[in-house]
Amino acid sequence: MVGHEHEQGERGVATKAVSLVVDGMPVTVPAGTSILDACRAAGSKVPTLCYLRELNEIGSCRVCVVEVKGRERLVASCNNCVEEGMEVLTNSPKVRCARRENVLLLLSQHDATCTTCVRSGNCSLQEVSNDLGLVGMPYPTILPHGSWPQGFPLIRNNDKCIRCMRCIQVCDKVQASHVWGITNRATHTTVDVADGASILNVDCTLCGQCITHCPVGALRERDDVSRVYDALQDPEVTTVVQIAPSVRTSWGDHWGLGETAGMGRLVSALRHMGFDYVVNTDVAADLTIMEEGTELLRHLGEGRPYPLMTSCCPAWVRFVKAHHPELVDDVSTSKSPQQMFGAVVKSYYAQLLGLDPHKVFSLSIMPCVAKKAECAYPNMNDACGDPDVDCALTVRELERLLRADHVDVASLGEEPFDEPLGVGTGAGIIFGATGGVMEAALRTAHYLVSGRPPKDDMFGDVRGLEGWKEASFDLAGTTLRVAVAHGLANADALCKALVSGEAQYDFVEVMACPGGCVGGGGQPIHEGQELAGVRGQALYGFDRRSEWRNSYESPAVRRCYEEFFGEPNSELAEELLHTDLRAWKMPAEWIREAESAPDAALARR
Amino acid sequence: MAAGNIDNYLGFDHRIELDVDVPAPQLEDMGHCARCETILREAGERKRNFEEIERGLTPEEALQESSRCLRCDHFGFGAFRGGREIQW
Repeated sequence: MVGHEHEQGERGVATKAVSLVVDGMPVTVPAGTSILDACRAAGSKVPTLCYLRELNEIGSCRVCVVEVKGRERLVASCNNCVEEGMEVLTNSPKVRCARRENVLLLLSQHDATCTTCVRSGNCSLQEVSNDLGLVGMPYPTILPHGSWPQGFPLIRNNDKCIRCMRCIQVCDKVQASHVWGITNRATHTTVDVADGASILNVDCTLCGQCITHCPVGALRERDDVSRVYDALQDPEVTTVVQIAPSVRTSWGDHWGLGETAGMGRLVSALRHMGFDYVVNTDVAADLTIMEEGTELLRHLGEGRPYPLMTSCCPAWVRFVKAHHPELVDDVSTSKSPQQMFGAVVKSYYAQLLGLDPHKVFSLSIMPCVAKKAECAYPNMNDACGDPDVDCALTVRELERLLRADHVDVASLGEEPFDEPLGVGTGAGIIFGATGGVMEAALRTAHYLVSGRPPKDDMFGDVRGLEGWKEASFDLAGTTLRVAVAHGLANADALCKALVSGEAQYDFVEVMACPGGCVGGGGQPIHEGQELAGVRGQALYGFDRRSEWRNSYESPAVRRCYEEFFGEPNSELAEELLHTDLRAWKMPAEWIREAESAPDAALARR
Repeated sequence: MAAGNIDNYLGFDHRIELDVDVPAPQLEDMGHCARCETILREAGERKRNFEEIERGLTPEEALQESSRCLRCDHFGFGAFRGGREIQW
């Protein structure tokens, strides 16, 4: 009877119980509960569309309307609270009629070309409309149209937007980036880049959280699948594909494999599709730890004003460059694992295999949209002059690639990655979860400083989904103060505290997406669910079962240094594995530069 | 908003605070209720002086006007952005 699954006290102090009747079923819930939750507790499923718990409870789509007996007008159940003695009807004639009409009106402003939409089969509007049994469309469709730079890694289609406002809320509240806004009035109201700007001129971090929280196909990543087909069918080109750590927890979602899918079957699938070499980004993560760990020890000795900050997450790098320029010099120069691997593929690996690096197509499978921008920065071409990574696909594009070939995932066997860059350590695996890069770095730093291997899970304090975590560890007698933030709003708060001097640390890890890459903006979309928690736990499980758990133990990494790089932060390593974060600019950086030296900016034009 | 901008432009930073407790929005239906038209003084009467032309609202009229509030801080745009402003 009672909504036992309801989190008591979630919306403030809810101590009093309220009794009401939903569709004839009595139910008692804490005061302050939304009508929607009370209906669910009573077993009546009310459909929603714009609703996103705690982020977007605005009653805008009018799909969740219910009838409250004695009231003439219908009530949005998502953002109105229960009252004592209320009688709620979720399927009265009036509700049925209104809900139907409201969805038809939404459809009249939606480009319902579902057959060629990336969200077909995973679209809330499609589901609501199908569930209501809408047949035929009595209204003409009126679409707002609008232009969009199709080369940008993030694509927005105004004709599919249903103005649910979720993208605005996520970008404002979770990511502190304020890219989206609304324009025009009344029926002409539409979502667009804030203040009518072009997406090319605002500081979009490309985290992709607006995409994963869009209920329809209005937001998506730029589809780069055709470039992969071109490379696969070119007989002169050797394809090398790297797979990011967190992909093992999500790539098989479409086939029901869940967060424990693992890499084996994916490697096998990609090999069957014709990729020549399938390699493991975990190895590059281990390499990152060796480079960044060495950099950390150097940074500690330099007495810098700010802590060393990680640079694995390209959306975070874009954010810090745009919003906290004073911190950029303390962001690690180590490239992200994707870019390190790209540089290794077109140098050491090509040499090892006797390949011309100009004839290598270096592909990455990432949980991320910002990786598409990162691999195209003008200075990410250190190995041979061509881009070190030619193309980055999100996990969703990978799913489309496999589905287009009708790969029978269930019947695939497990296959290992191609050696010698095939086996990473547990430390590399946990790079995909918030706190993971920090933990991996601490494990190796502990070894480098003390000469002893770390105890299992001794740095577990940096795990978990709290937005801004801090911890201190003893490293051979010195205290190392660390902090971990995920979600850019948390990162923003941390940056402000660092600049104002309120917070002081030695090493800071930031990942832009809530939960880290496991909650990445390039991950498969599951309406209303935040899967970063379970996927992160799955990564820690893979870590526990790894043969090696510390980056410095990795045979692949050792071999890289012995045969090629020499030692961490060597001259060759600096050239290939590190980068200049100021070599390309975010819009805010152009603006600041022009404001500080207007004449120079004019002369450049 | 315009008033605030003008105030700032003139170099002030006046704050107007709301000193009453705003009641929680009610789901009760609102009956039909037209707007109070303010009473104007007769044209002949307002000739040749600078007294107010509008007579303003009586307390009863003011009460009726405020009861027509649609509570857009909860049911409208305010649910999406900002909610009720308690300081101007």
